[in-house]
Amino acid sequence: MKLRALLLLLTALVILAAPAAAQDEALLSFTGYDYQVDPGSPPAPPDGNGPYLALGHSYFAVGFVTSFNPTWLQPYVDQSNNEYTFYQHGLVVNSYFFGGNQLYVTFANGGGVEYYEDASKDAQNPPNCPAYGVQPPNADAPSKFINGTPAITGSLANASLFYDYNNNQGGFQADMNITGGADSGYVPAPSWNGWFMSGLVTPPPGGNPCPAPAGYDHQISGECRHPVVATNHGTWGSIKKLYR
Amino acid sequence: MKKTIGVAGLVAILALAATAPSALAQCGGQLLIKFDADCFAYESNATLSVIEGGTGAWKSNAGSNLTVVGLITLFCAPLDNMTPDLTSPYSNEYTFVWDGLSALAATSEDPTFGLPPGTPAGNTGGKKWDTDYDPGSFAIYEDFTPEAPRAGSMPAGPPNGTVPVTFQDGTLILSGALTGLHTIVTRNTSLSSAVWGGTFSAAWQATGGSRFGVPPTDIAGNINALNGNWCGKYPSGCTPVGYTAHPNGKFDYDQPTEARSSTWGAIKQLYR
Repeated sequence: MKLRALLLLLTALVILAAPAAAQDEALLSFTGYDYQVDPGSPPAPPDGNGPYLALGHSYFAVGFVTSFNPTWLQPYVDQSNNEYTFYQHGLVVNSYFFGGNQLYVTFANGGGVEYYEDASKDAQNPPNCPAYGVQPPNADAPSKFINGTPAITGSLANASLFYDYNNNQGGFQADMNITGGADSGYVPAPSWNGWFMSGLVTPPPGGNPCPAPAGYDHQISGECRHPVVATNHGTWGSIKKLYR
Repeated sequence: MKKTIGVAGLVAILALAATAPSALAQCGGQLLIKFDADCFAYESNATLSVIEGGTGAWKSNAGSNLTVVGLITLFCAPLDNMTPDLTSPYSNEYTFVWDGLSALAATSEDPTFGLPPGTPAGNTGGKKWDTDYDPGSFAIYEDFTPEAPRAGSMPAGPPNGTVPVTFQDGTLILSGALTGLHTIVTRNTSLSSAVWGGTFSAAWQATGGSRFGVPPTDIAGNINALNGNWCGKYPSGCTPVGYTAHPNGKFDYDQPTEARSSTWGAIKQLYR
């Protein structure tokens, strides 16, 4: 009887503890541009005619955070007086597939992403267009996106990118674990791991008032989210029955 | 003469400054409207693909009606005088609904995604699901009595008493057409460790609402991009029970260059 009671208590504790890592929750969302650095020749577009994201090429992205987790981060950010930027880096292509006009690449583990709070707003560059510069890396990017205070830092793993040239759209995705940063303490420790970071990649748009910065490959828009964990509804009666 | 040109130049600079992007730190580029975590899609006639490695994706049957509801997190120029309240208790909410979209055909399924070219589809092959939709419409509302549910509290099984009705009340600020919606969901293997991805792309064109065609902060009727992330992983993904996908994306906006009618005589006069 005592064992049953103990098991019931344990079950209840597990159920109560589960939401910390199981809720449908977003850490933050972002927009920006991506670019690649190819160490060999010929260079990839837009600089040359070599393959895009070939083996050994490195993938980067810079941009702005557009929203924050309403409970953990939003109360602590000041979007009027700061800019919130991000820099994703260190992802090196380790497999490359291209067929049917579709690209699929994976990246070796070891990449990272940092989100910064910066009162200088030098990346946003008001009242002018954002300081992406051209042909990154350049004097503006990533330097103006990595100054200020690192608010959240993370490691990336299992990263991949696909691009469907038939439909001119694609996606980037990676697992992300929080590793530190000034605002990381607001995120409960059990929720530091298991984030899924994903972002759209499409051709940079042209236009008014801010033309797409030359030399970047795609615009991106995405988020860092905890996947929903599937749950089954049950009654206390059915839970008790498990232990009888 | 030089003074006149100088004044004209100053006027031009001021005019350019007036159209410069918002100083809001998260804006920039063609971004007009951003929606993030609180956005979900559901369909009238979708079926699950075969579950492999514990996961699958929803597939539209031909003619299935797609509805997307969501909350806006950010407005940029020329809509930047509207600021969604992102801290509870919320004083306002800016919501949107896409509807009238129906699947042109059943979702296509490519069982060779993520495999090297020439490799036969096997047990570890990935999948890519593509869906095209007929044109539909969008509507964006400003509501000072916020009650729409957010991520984590979306009621199951839409449509219901909450969805989409709580996303379509308040003042209609912008409405129009959505065309060319194409969604892609990918899974790189059929194993439980598979990496999922997804994207959507469409075009939007405003035709109505209180912010349509009312200078100086109006939205013009040109065609612009609407795109973003499309998470369709089931069941341990990003969709509440009864929803088929979670979009996260943006309305881009290419501000038309202002033009005024004039005469050659008036233009010559500027330089005399």
